[in-house]
Amino acid sequence: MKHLQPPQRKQFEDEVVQYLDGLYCYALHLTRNDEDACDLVQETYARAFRAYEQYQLGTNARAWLFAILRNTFLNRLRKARRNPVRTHFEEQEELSSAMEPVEPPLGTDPETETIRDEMRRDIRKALSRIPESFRSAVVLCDVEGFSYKEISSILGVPIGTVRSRIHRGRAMLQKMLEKWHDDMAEDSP
Amino acid sequence: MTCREVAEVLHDYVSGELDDSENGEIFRHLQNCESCRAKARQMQELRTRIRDLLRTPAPGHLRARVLSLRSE
Repeated sequence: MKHLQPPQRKQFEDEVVQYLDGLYCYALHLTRNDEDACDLVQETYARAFRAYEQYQLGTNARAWLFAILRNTFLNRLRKARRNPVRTHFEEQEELSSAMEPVEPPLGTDPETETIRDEMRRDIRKALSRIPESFRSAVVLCDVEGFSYKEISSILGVPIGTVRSRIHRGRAMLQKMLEKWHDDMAEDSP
Repeated sequence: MTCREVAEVLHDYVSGELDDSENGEIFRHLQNCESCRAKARQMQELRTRIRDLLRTPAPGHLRARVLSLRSE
């Protein structure tokens, strides 16, 4: 077993900081609000930096960080369930504002951007309605591009379970998006 | 491969989880089957849309907080 030596600590810290955007994005999908997502990511990094001596060279640092983040989230969730203070509506409202892109990309025409905003809102809404275990599998696979093997290590479940959650999670999303699309088509004159 | 067999692994195909030989078999089936091809396209579009639309950069204040946690 080969652990990091003190001079390698900076290298380790520089590497894990690269994954900040992905961790924040995943945290938003788990917590559904910006403040909790930022707090969760901060705690994840604090834990990772404290645990660097246990970190083994050759380990997948990115998957390791995502696993810390999810475990921290689940621990918080267990505590929060004993003392619920937020409503689902409040969470959804915060999620909508938290996940807006900072600025529209340059050179994108307003009409295209409006369509993209609507699609983005629909996908977020659909994702927020599927159970966390399925949502995590889909986000880790489709947004973050992790392999089934990596997702298996992050979620702590067998690859077959990951595969099944991705299949079912995507199917749930597809069904919801199609239904909303059909409803909109029926409402149109 | 039959349509039923393809349907069982189409998600894995879209995820890029199959080996070269399996990819080849699916690819050949899709070339000749319009119905499975439409399903594959739909899955691929959903995956691409999710990836393109949901990426959100971390806010600057969070980056600063994380950087401050590093050792001196």
